[in-house]
Amino acid sequence: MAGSSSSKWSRTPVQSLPIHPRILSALRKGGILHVSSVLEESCSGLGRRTGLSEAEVKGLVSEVARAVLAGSPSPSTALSLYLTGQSQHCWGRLSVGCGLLDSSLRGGLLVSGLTEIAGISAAGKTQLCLQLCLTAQLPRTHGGLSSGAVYICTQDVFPTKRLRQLTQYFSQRHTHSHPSLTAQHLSDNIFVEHVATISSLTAQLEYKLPALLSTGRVGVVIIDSIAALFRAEYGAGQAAQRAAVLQTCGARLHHLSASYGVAVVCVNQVTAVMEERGGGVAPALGLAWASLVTSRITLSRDETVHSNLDCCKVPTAVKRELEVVFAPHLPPVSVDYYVTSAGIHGNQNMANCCPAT
Amino acid sequence: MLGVRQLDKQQERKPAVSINFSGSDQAVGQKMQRPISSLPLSSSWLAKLASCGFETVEDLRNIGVVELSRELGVSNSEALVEIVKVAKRSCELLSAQPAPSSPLSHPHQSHPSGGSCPGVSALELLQQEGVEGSIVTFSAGIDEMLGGGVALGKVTEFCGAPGLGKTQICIQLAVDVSIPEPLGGVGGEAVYIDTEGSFVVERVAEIATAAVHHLNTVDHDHTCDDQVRQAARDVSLEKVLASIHLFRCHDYLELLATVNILSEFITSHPQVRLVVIDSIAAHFRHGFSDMSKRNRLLGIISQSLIQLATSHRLAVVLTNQTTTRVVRGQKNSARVVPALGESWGHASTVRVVLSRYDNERQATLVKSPTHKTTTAPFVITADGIRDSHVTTGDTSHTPIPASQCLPVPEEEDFEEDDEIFSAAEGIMADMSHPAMWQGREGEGGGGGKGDSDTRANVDFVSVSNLHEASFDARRESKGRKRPHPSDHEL
Repeated sequence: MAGSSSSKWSRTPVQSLPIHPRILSALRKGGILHVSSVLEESCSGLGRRTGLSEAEVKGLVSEVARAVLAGSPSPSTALSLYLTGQSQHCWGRLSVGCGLLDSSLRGGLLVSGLTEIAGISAAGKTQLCLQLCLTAQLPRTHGGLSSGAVYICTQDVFPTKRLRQLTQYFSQRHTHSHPSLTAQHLSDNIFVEHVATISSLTAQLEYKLPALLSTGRVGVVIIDSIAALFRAEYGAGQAAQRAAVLQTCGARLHHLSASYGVAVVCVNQVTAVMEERGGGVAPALGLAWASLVTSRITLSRDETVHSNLDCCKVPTAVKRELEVVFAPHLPPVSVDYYVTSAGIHGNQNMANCCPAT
Repeated sequence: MLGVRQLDKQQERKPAVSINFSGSDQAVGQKMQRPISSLPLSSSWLAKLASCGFETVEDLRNIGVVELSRELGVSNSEALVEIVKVAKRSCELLSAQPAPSSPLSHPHQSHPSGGSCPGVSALELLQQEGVEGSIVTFSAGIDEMLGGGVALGKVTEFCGAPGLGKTQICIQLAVDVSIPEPLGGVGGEAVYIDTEGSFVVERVAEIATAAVHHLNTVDHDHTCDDQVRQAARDVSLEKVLASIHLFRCHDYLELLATVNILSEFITSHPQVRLVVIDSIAAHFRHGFSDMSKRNRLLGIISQSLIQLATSHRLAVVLTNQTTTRVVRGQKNSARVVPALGESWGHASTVRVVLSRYDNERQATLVKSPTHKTTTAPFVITADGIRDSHVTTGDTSHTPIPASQCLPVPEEEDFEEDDEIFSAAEGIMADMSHPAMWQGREGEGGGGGKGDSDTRANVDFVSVSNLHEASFDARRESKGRKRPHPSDHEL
């Protein structure tokens, strides 16, 4: 894959490293031409192929290993990471835009790794994602990432009208604390892309996204939804192929998240679970995909609508539930939320007015 | 929660400690009179020890690093730790030696790394293993299952579906490895190799805070001796966090390179007693069209890890993902197995499978050279891994039917994974696999997906075996996307 270091090193000739010419010529004779092939061979295997002594092989391997790791930072202790986080009040979280929900999620979604938002249709997945596009633009001290968002649509047309509505509420709410976040500015930092096939998604992930991410203008990448493409293109008999492509995509997303420090959020659909005792729904795409997910959040909606149209003019809000199924930093919790014209909120009454910041 | 006394007790349960070959305490007492000067230490240290009044090994027997530092008035912790270790080892070996005139090679002439040096007798290895100790998990059930915790000198693998607590166990172990020796720990540092971005330092701090709080309470226990209490006082969050070294690997080549430089890193950090790779599977489940290459690279990694484990006396802990294996042409053959194929199964000495049964987390020991297959329930709390309160006590007497111990996947729609390709190498799913891996009744779904012959037979498979895709088709044909209760009544 372009950009990942394994592919880079599989093209880099071993000659480019500062290694003794005698050892280089032995490597050439042994047919070991690229940096990666040194590490992909066991020490004894290298000795056999090149005729070098054990000590020479050891020196060579550690030299190559250091070169490969030169780009990544040296090991840090948990203490230094902890102190950095504490001093900067920045733990690598992306706020979901509501204090109540954020406190249940301990600050929001995890920026590292891959976050999945799964749920039945009309549970509020897209609403949550749209809100993330806006919160990402908040400064880091306010739970954002002070950068924009990429929104990759695969199943529907991007809900521009709804985004416009949300940006207006959002900029109004933050007009005092962050006057620079105008509705115009907010929408300018959301990059929308429509993708209809897996091959075009792969192309996006391989070429277009890295170019965009390297500008540093993007803090969150949202794919809405990952399930739509994979469920459409692969049938019942192609589970193995589907798993392989999913894993490549997932690995690519992990790589993007790690190398550009962006949060990756994937929307997933659900599938019916058949059990003797009834059953319910579970996120789609199976175990292969689940293994790639770092944090899994499911959304559901309560079908009994809380209608109070008669007594006051508060619009009806369906009670919905956000559940953390697994996440490295969170216990399994669930919290109620409501979707209103202003966005997603944890408190029904707060949903319509501007929350205190 | 596990009391430190219990931790101590677990330490004592080690086989070699309880083995008394000579059966004569008097003989042991005599051997403890062995002079300090005969220990394999540098002469300057020997002189220092002698000048402070240490004469025999007995004097050093129950001393900790902290106390020794006070006695000698030096702060070179590495040297002190070495002294304590040498003294402790010699005590253990002496107390277990059959006779002073033993024809065995003298233990102190043997290489300190024990396992890797040639010409070591099995008896010595057994004694060594007793001294090596293990890292507790803070769940008495899991510790008991593993024989006192995650053993040093071995490769232990935790497998499980997502969300079962693999990462949490790794973080707990990385914290627990720093429990000082007087409190029943190994007093070491940890190398944590994160391949999935799931190392969240806040969570580490949370688990560490709970552990530190727990250890500090020992200080108020006046029944403990001063040395233990001093060690308990010395534990702090900063020390625990400073002892965890994090490496982040973004692809398999970086992982290979990191494993290669580990030995160097550990030589410069001799206190490292734990290497965690969370997870080994992440970079090896994509991008490999050539399965034999993948297996070879995994082999290289596992060889390096086993070598590290034995030569540096440290525990290696790996996590592995799970996959669904379907055997071609066999109906109801789908079962959840650890990922990375059959050949990887040989890489770890101890293999623990995490599963969920009736909303309870369970750890099942499926491979161990020393312990029988048992299942231990556990819970994950804000403080970390703990015993399940419901079934505290002896879990081995309440065995759970093996057929129920399988790791339950998060979803029903099983699918074949890369493992199906292992068939191309002539490695078919092993039917003699422990009953652990039997599919649950009604869940053995799949019915040979990916095989055109069996696909035609899909109508004959029970409802629960139907694939997700067929639901999709039905749902869409009915013009609604959400699953409906009637979907369940076919």
